[in-house]
Amino acid sequence: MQAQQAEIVKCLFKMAWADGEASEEEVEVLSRLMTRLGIPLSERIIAMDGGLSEPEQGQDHIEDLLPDRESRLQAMEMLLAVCFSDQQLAPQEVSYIEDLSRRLGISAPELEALRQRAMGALG
Amino acid sequence: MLSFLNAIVELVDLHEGKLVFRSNRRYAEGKEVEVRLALPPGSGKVANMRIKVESCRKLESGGLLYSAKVLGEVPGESHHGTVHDPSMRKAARHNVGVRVMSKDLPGYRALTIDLSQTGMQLEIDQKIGTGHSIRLNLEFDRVDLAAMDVEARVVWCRPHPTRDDRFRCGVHFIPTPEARKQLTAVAEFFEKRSQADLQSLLEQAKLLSQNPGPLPQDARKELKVPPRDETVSAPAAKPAARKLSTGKSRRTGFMIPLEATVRGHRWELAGRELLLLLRSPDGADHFLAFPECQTMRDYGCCLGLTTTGMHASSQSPLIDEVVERSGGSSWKHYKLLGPKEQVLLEVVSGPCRLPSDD
Repeated sequence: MQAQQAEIVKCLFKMAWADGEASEEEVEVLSRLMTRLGIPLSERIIAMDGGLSEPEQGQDHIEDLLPDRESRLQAMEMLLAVCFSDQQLAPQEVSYIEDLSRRLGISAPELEALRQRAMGALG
Repeated sequence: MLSFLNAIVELVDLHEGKLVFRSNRRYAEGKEVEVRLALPPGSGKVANMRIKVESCRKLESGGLLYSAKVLGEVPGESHHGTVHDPSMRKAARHNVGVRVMSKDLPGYRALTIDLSQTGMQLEIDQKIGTGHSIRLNLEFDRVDLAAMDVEARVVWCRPHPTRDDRFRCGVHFIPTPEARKQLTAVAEFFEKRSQADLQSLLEQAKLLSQNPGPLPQDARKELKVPPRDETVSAPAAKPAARKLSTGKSRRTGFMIPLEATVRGHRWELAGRELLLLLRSPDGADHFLAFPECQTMRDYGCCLGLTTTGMHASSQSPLIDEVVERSGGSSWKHYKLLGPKEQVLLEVVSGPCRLPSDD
């Protein structure tokens, strides 16, 4: 797994665990997103085995590893997909999105557009 | 014409053209004879049957126990006789797939259909002559059961009941004192395991009866899994908790969604590492390593089966067994599941990882 992929995956797990719970829907979406990221099957299994065993504790540095705007927007869309997958939005999840938006330089209108796309993709 | 003069033998078992019977009369092995037996058992009717005697042994309770091939018309149904004599079966038979290697076997290798302390049934590529002594090497895919060599005699061989290109044969062990000890240990192991499997099934049945129900099908709507017939009999997986509150604590069990085909597995006994080969839908092969593998249970030969998920758990009765036997505290219990959530493969090992040589 490349460093960028690994950092996005780390954030995805942090998002899934943000409210202290990783639901089955979040796990399904996580798995699909990791496939979309091109992470090989065995690495995906290992990452999910580790990432779902306990909450991700370390600080992420996604802003350092995603310098270009396009990749930042794509990463945020994935994070929102995980966040909205179980139809429940916890205050901790909102806090994490706000924190990431600030660090990635994503504006409120951009965030809303991403939210719409993420929701649309989830059906 | 004078068939009424033939002796009536006591039916023990009649299945797929193989007759097992008891008689006080002596029949030579390899000889074709005609016998009479009550068929169906207890019906009062007597059937004449031409058979070829394949093997014979003395029973502790008296008389002789024969295994024979039915010649001519084979009755379609299976029949079990009314003869119940503990000495007829010296040892419990376990339906386990053990790899057998031998220079004396066609293709040099075979897989057991069943195994007991006194013999086993093998599936082989070509017909093999009866009466021959063959040297076998048994591999158990377990660290607690060492591979062993044993001499055996082929007592019967007949075509596979459903596949034209395969045969089945029965062999009777002729063990050395050392091999006899090993066979006793093997038999004890499989006996214990069958008890443990039963216990596990009972526990799971109890859990399922307490559970509100199976997972909704739409939870897996993204997984386009082709339907297939269930060919293995294995305990059903414990349904995963839909949402587990953990706070900062460790999660004890979860499901990892997968869409892959199981291509095979290899247990590196020296490194105690089980290697699993999976094929993703794009046709790429992926190795997954289970380090310090303590237990592996393959519910039937899982080659080529579709898996839809892997359940990972850090707590289970099987882990408790391993901790009791080997100590340690960071074991994980993995269950590879099929489309109907049936368990295909079960492993207790350290956390899975990429193979060390990758």
